[in-house]
Amino acid sequence: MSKLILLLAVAFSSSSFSQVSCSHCTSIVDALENPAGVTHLDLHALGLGQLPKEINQFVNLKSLNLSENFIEEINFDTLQLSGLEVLDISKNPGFNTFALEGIETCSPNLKNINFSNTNCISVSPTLAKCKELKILNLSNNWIQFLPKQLGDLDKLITLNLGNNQLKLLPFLDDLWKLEELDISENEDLHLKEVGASLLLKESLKSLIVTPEEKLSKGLPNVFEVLAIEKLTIKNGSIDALNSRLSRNVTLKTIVLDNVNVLNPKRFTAWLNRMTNVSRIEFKNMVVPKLLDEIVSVNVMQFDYCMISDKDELRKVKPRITMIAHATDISQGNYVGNAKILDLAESNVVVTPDVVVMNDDMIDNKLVPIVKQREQVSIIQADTPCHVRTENSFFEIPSEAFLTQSGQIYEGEVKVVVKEYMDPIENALTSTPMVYRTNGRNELFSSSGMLDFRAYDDQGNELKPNPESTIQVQMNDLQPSQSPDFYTFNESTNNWESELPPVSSRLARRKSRVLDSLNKISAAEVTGFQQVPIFLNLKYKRSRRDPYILSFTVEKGRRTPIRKVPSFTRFLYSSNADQSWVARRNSWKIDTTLTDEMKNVLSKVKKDTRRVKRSWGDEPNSGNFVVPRVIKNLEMEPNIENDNYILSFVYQDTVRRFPVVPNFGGSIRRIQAKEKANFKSFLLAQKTAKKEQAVIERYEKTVLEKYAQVVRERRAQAIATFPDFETANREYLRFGLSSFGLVNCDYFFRNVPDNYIAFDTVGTDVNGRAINVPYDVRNVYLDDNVFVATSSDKVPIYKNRRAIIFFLISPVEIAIVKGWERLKNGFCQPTVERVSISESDSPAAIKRKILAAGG
Amino acid sequence: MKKMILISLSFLCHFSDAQVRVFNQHAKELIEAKDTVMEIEENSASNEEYDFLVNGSDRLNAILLSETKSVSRARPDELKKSQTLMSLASLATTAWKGTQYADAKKWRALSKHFQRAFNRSTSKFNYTKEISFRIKLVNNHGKRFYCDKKVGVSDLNLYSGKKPTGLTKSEKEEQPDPVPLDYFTEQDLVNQFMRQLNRQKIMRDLKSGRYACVGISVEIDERTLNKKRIPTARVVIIFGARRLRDLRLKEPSTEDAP
Repeated sequence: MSKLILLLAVAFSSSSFSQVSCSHCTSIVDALENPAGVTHLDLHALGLGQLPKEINQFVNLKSLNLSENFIEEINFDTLQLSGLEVLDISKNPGFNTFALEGIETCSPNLKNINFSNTNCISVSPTLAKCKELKILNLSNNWIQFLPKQLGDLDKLITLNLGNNQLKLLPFLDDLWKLEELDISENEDLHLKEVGASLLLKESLKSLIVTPEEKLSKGLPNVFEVLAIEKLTIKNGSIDALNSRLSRNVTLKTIVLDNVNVLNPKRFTAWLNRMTNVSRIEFKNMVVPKLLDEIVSVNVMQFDYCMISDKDELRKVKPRITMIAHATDISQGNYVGNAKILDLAESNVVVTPDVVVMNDDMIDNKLVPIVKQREQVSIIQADTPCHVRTENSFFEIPSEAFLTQSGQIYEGEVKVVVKEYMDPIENALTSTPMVYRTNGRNELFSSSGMLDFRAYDDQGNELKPNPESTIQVQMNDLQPSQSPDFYTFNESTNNWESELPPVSSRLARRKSRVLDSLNKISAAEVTGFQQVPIFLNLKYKRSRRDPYILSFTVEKGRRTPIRKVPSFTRFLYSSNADQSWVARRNSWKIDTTLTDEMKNVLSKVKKDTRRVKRSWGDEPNSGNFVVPRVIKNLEMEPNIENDNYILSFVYQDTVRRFPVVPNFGGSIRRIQAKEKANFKSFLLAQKTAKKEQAVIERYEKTVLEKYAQVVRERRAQAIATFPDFETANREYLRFGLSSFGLVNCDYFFRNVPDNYIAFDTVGTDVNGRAINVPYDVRNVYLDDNVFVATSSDKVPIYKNRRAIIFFLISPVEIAIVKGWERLKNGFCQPTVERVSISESDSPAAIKRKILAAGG
Repeated sequence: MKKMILISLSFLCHFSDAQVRVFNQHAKELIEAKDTVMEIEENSASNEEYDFLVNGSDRLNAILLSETKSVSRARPDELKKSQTLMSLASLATTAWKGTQYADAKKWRALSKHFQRAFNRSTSKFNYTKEISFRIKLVNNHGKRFYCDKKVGVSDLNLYSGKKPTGLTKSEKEEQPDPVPLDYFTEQDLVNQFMRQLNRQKIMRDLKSGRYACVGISVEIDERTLNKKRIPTARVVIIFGARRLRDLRLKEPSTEDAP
């Protein structure tokens, strides 16, 4: 009986296992075998032009990766993916971020959206209806305007707006849970205004900015009171940063990423004043001189840096820990300030050059596990024709081929094309991926690679005709990057530089830009803002009468509606109804004062003080850019309860207090005063309405005309931008100046977080022992990179999707599922075996590897 | 001696603080979140003596309420009885028993406690005016009187004249029966009440109907009974008025349906 139960249990478990076996799928075909069991669907880099129709069948889908495709629009109205939490549409050039209608009903639980590298110029306000959104990535686009409605995303924690063309971030005021913000490489963004928006946000921890050229010290004074822990300064030149940053008590880490330090002496002096900062990191830059004079920090980190004077490192205080990634900090017998002999005991941590590869990888002589499949076409050399493969399109003119003797060939041509568009397939086929130059071994991160060869009817190899070049249009796997072009020289086993791409399709893109711009409102295009007067709420918590509130207008009292000359985009409104509140200076709370109310009022008071303190010294700081602690202040008579309802928004929450004016005297006098008071209230409301009508009229007439001009200028600017085609390409386009392997890549320079050494013996999931070979292949899916390393030096990256595998027999691959650290420091890998055969294509083996869950 | 004064002063301070605490604490329990407003019933004052020992203070309360309403000539129907104000007035007469009724300065100092207590309730008015005073319940006609608990002629034990002392037993028997003090009539009490209102300078506003609600509490001061003191009642009146009286907000204009 017990055996029967056991068998049943095994059968049940196996059946349930088969149901969820493909919860993480990378192809729609595999996923459709059990659609209900699919939770993660990875359809990246499949050349998709539109979303597969079967997507609605995956009712339990949580994560959908559509990156690196050619999807231009998704009709969310027809979709029903209620459990979807992560949606990645990055690197889909030309994706219409305005067509998001129905996204909130289709996927109400969306938490993470990635629209990076889609070449969009804004996003639809509909996005703000995704109330559960926590992470939003809009980086590497052409965004100049973002809708105010994004402020409704109350749960947003991470916002990446890097590398755009933003000028204003009006919604930032309302994002109170923001922890990480990247606004780097937005040239026209006013950091002072951003600082104003972030001023009272206690949750903010990390901020990435590019210093403004207009400001003499790169960062405005307001940064001294931001509650950030980590400040990253990216891509800019700095002299000495604002010394008032030293007053920022929360700031612990400063990161300089690709920053040109103009005056090292001033920079060092500035850094030494930053007594709270315990860590400084230099990334991708020439490290400034006078490092030895830095004394304030505890940790100095160099990531892919050049150090001009290594002698200085030996003089750095020994208590400062130095960490170097891909940076040579050795000088003679010293690494940093530690002698090499004492390296084990020193506090210096050094990791070697980028990734440690094995020799075969460096020499581009890796033995392939399987061969790449080829596509063969027969064409006539004397007539122009096209050849299309899965990811490429070849436009072959007539007389494009030469014989080995240099004669134009005019017969039948056998064209053989192999494509290398996937890092796992590249790892299986051992594609050469190392570019040796100037003593360095650069590893390619692939944007696309192909092998084009042509043979005559006798089987002799043909050469390209430089007079009549074959034009190639190849899918770009990483449109955000700007790759260089290389051809593989088989005699030297190394890569050589190739011609840059040519441009096309400008007109179509321009019209699309115009279409998108027309969907943006006039106020957003022109950066128009109506700014209320600056109003202080004072709460005096006296023992005598803690119920008294008072309001004061700082500046602009009774100022009529007007334009601010220095900031043309603002329209400064007097807000007559608010000024009425302030005119009746003292009010009394007409309800029992609870502790919660007291706390709110005290916080408002404190925040107002902070704002005033940090903005008091700002030169030329008009009160229109001063951050408003309380917003939307309104006062409405409540005739039924014989008082007034005071309401305002503080930290994204509407607060209401019943209040009465603080008059004294007999009832006769009070009633007479209230009557006069009420009259002035009605008058103020009338004036406010008039002002609003003026603004609305202004928006409809003047602003709309102005917006049209701005739209046209903007579209023209984007269309004629010199790097437009390079930065916004959908395809890689180039001419084939030589046949063979052609590579469109850039260099992978991410330094591993750690290295581990595999033991020579590992175990499979059933506990059987296997031998670990010397050659281990590592695939990093996010970067389109594979690297072959020795088993005792396996690079490990945190937060990167990786697959590690090795060949254990000609018909079996072991995929590393995990490892156990042994006492001798080695790691014993636990692997899953995957059987392969010679007839398997690289794509088929890739599917097996992914199904095994590497 | 100085120490004694100090101790007594601190005791007094503590005592007055305790009264405030009692008032605030009971206000929390008694006052409801929403005020109830009721019509004031008519109770006209008669010329009969008001025996407060038999009738208590309830009838007197009702009479004074009715009389207050009758003063409001301009808008007699507007003045109503407010449950919150009645509770507050009642609480005040129970909590404060000292000199607050005679000392205007002390009374003014208590107004903020009324305001806080009043804030616990939502009502239709937002201005309050608190008045307090004492009214005499027994008429001695301005003459000398004495208290004798052994005679037993009157329940009040108050008699006019001088208390006979040093008499022998036989002299005592020959003495005529002592003349007990008279109760004030209801009308007299109302007159006293009106005189006090006049003194507080609110009659003009009351007559012109500016007050919307009222709460009255009459509490017979037991500390004045069975002593050589004229029995009095503590009276607290709280008037409530609408600050935004006669003000109307314009209704938002609605478009006519086609």
